[in-house]
Amino acid sequence: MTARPMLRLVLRGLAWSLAIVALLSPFAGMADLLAALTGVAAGLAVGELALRRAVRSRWIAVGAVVACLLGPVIAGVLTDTFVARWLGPGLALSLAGWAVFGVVATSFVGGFRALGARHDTARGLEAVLLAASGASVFASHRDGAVGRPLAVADLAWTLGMDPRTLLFGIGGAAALVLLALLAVEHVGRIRRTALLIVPVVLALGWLLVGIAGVTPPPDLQTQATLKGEDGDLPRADPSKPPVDVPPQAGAGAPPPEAEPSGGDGGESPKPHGADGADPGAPKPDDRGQPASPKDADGAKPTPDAQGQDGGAKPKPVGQPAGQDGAADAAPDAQDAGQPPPSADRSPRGGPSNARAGQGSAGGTPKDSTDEQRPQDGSPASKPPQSQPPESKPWNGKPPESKPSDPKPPDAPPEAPPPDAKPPEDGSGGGAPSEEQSKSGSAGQNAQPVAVVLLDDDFEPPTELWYLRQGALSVFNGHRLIPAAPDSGLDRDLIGAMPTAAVGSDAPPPMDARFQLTGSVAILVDHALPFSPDFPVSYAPLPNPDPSRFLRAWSFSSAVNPLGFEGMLGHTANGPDVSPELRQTYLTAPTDPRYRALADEIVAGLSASAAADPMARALGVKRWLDDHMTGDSSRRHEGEGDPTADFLFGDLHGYCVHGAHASVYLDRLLGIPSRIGTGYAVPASDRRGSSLVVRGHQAHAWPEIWLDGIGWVAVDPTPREIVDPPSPPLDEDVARQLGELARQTPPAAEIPPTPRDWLRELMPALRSVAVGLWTILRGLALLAVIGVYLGKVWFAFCPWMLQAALPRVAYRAALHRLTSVGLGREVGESRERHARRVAAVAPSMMALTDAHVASAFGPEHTLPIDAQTWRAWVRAVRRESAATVPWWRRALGWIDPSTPFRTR
Amino acid sequence: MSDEHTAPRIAKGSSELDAARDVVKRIQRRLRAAVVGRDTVVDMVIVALIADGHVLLEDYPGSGKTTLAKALGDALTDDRPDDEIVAVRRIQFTPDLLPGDVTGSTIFDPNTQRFFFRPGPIFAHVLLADEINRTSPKVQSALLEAMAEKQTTIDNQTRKLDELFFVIATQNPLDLAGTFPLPAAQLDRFLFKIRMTHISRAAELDLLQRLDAVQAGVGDSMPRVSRTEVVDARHAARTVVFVAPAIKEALVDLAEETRKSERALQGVSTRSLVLMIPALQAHALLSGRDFVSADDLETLAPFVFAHRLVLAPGSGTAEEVVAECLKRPLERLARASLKRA
Repeated sequence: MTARPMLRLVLRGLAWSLAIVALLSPFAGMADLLAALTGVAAGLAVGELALRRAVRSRWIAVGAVVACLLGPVIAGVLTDTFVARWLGPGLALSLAGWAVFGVVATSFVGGFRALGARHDTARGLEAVLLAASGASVFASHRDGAVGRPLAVADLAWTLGMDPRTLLFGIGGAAALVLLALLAVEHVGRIRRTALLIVPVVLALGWLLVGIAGVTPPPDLQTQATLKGEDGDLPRADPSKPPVDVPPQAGAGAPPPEAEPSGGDGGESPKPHGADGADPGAPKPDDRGQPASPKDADGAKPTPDAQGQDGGAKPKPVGQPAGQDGAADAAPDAQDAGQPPPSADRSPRGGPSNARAGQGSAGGTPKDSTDEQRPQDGSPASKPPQSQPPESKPWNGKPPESKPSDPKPPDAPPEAPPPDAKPPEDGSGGGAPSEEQSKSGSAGQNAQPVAVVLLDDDFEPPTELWYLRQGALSVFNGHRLIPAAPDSGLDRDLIGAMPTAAVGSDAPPPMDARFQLTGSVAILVDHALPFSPDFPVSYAPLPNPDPSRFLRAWSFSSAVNPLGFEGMLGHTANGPDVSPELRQTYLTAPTDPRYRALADEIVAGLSASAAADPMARALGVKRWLDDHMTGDSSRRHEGEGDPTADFLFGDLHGYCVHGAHASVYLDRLLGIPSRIGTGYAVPASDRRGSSLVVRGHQAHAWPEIWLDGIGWVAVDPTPREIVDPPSPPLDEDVARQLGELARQTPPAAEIPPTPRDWLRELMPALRSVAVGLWTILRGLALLAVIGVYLGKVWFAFCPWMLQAALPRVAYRAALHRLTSVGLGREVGESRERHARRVAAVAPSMMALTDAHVASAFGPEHTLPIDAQTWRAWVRAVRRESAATVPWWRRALGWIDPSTPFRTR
Repeated sequence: MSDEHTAPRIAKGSSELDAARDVVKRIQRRLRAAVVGRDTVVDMVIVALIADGHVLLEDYPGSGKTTLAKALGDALTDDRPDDEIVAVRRIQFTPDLLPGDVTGSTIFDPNTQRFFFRPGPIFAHVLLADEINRTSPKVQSALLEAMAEKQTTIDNQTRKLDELFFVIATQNPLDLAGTFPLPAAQLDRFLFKIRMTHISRAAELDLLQRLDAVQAGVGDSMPRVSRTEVVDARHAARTVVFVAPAIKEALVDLAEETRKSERALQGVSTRSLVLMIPALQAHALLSGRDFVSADDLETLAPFVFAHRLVLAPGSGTAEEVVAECLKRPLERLARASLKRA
């Protein structure tokens, strides 16, 4: 090939590559683009070969179409059959991408190349296609797919350009290059007017954009979507699919804030059961409070606007809570050396639950859904519960802060069971629920989902980092759900991923807290940001490593350095919202058993302790610590009130049950409370400044409001946990992720030193190596496919071609003989070979003679018609089939080497 | 050469070619009938005859050389009876033979008081030169001049031999005592050196079964060919049978291979290639083709080139070397047929 055709070929490849980038960029990743570009090169080669062969054009077209279809078929085979298992999912997926994009690009470009060289129509189509690729950039923007491919978009952003400009430039340049090329190549054959296609298509593109408009850039887009969601649904409404399904979601953690509210969908594995589901018969082992059949709870108003019960009759009962039980508890608290709660700080008028209201509204008819509650309640009184009330030993040390405290409580009749978990497991005991509910295996979900970098040495006093992402505040009659964004509740939460600096609308009082800053980089997509304890503000950060992390943000949190004991003596009037809203934080189920249990717990407290909200909350926590069994296999699904099923049943459940029970009891005890959702990560998982968050650490915990402190997690920690321990943190992974998260993103790189160059080079080299490996694998696959296509081609091309029959017909027969082991030896003349195989295939002789005559004979040799050639091939096949056993012929079809041995 | 599948080979032949093929076939039929079990040798002899070359048979006594030569002479009819050239002659070479015994000599006729030329056995269409290595180089060279130039110089007078002058020389490969081996330069003048082996058991048995019939000769049961027909066939082969450039290329490749080969001290000469072309054409004609194919080259190469190689010591036989050198050109030739033109 001379230089000029070569140059043209290269230019054509360039044009097609640019067009492919423009066409595929909206939906293809980098690997797929690479595959497509390789396909372009292969397609050009194939096209050049095809156009020089005497293949009929329609066969080229059919071949191109078939190959186009073949790509997805191969991909399907790779991903959906045993091959995927054999290759492993990653390899299968990447190979499938290669199959789809590479094969389709190859056949597309090859077909157009070969046909375009023969027919002006195809050439015009080629031109239109390439020109349209320019316009398609606009079309894709209408779908909001602005940022793809990310590498190009990122580059554009880095350069300060609008990616649209860059992508449009690519597409337009492709069209222009190809058209210029066509004009040069076919001067006199292509009409110059065909060039008008370009401005027409471009104008069309502009026009379409003008009509449909260009959507805003991707980040704003995402945010807008989120906000739109927030508008009509709670953030975490599970019936709404996540905004983005993370690619790893199969094994990864879904956004944890979705977790505790899974009931609406009816199929969520959450413990709350479906709304309105018939609770069925009450369980015989329902734990009842025989002593307190007061159904005061029934009177409790539910301001919950969302519950179907519609029992939104706010009835604030200003009864101070828990006076009676406090007297008992106080001395104990003093025994334990804890500062007794000061009397003056005793809770006054927590707008709360009315113990006092008992009876008054006992008969208040609940609405339809709540009608089950009386049913629930009535049998509750009959069977004695498995745990006698007196076994609640828990007045031991109310203010004891740490669930993991090695000191056993003073007087529990039963010592902590030997299988009690270490703190990290214990506190996270409820957390594995999620993966248990999904996969039933505790170890499977222990994949890192995020890395938190902390700017401070601060250690949480609970030895657990609570990373709050959302909260469940509103009792809807069955369970707690997130408050509507515009309800005025939970205004401290930040409702969207930060695209600019955002702050909490209701930051906590900072008197007792101090500010902790840091950053979070997520590996799995989350709908909402999270940060330790009380997030105050977020700001987006450049992604430190786009190949690992999906997104990063910095946070400023108000962390609480106080232990539980340090928080005694605070009032709990609730957040600074209107009394009606505040009442939401005090709304609990009306089931009288809750009230009875709350009373019982408070009764176990000393007087001074019973007067203190924190002490009461700790009382609840302690009771649950002692009585609850961490068991993520228990869902309590399908119950009208799953929490009651849990709390008054066998007390087996996980974090969501504990949190719900805590909140209900706290609320009944007059403490404003809600459930915080997010992650709970043991402080022991911290490595240096980084804290790796893993999927199984998704958690829900009860939070109470303390005036002057804000929301405080008071998390029950079951002493007994039947779940398998969660896997330990992989030190290497933790260290590497920490290092990666600490990297500054490449775009913001300061002038690199030589060592930095090396370090930068390594990932690049690695990716090049991976790319080469992928290419190699792709080529190997293509080679295998090519070989078998070659076999088919060798066998059937005499029927596809008109010309070159002396060659291809002989080759078809020879291929057949070769595949049954009767091929020509090296150095053997064709005639001698024919004589050798004459016993098997006598027709081969005549075929060979004719073939040799066409190869070496004089020009004037009379042509033999196509039918004769094909008849010879058929005869050879027939004769060899008569002689050669079937298995030998089958082997011949399988044998991939025959095209190479056909000589 | 089997002649079962000739139909599609020559799609369009000239009448000249048809006639030549007919001639060849007639000779072949007669010779095969006369010499049992020696089909290859018969074919080679016919090829040499048509290619205007000479044959050196390396053979044992009693292997049918004379039969072959006589049958060949018998197959030819002299359609010019007025000249002094006869169909077939045989010379038994001995050490005391003189050149005049081969070429003929001038004799004084006392009756007419004049010298007249009495032609030697060389003035024949077919000359069987038996045990050529037993005579002195002087006699050998006299014969070889005649073979190369188709003329002989006697008493300073050059006399033309017949255009159809065909020598079948033999030599005994074992009994070499007191012989004068032919030097390479002289061997080069023989188109073929055919190393004959014993005929197959079946053929030998067949010969004994049909002994009487064979000894009686073919006679007139089969048509003969005339000298002119043979000469015309030669001409047709030279002019009509097509030699593809790829074949010539393969020939040159083969020559190069022999020259490069470690096993040969001296490769084949250019003259041998020149001689090879008509041989290939003749063989193609014999095979019923109007073009030269790789098969011709493969068949002829050992007979044409083996005796022209000077082998390095311990290199095995020349035929092996030729076969080895032939492999690559043949393979290239075969692949060329599958490549698009």
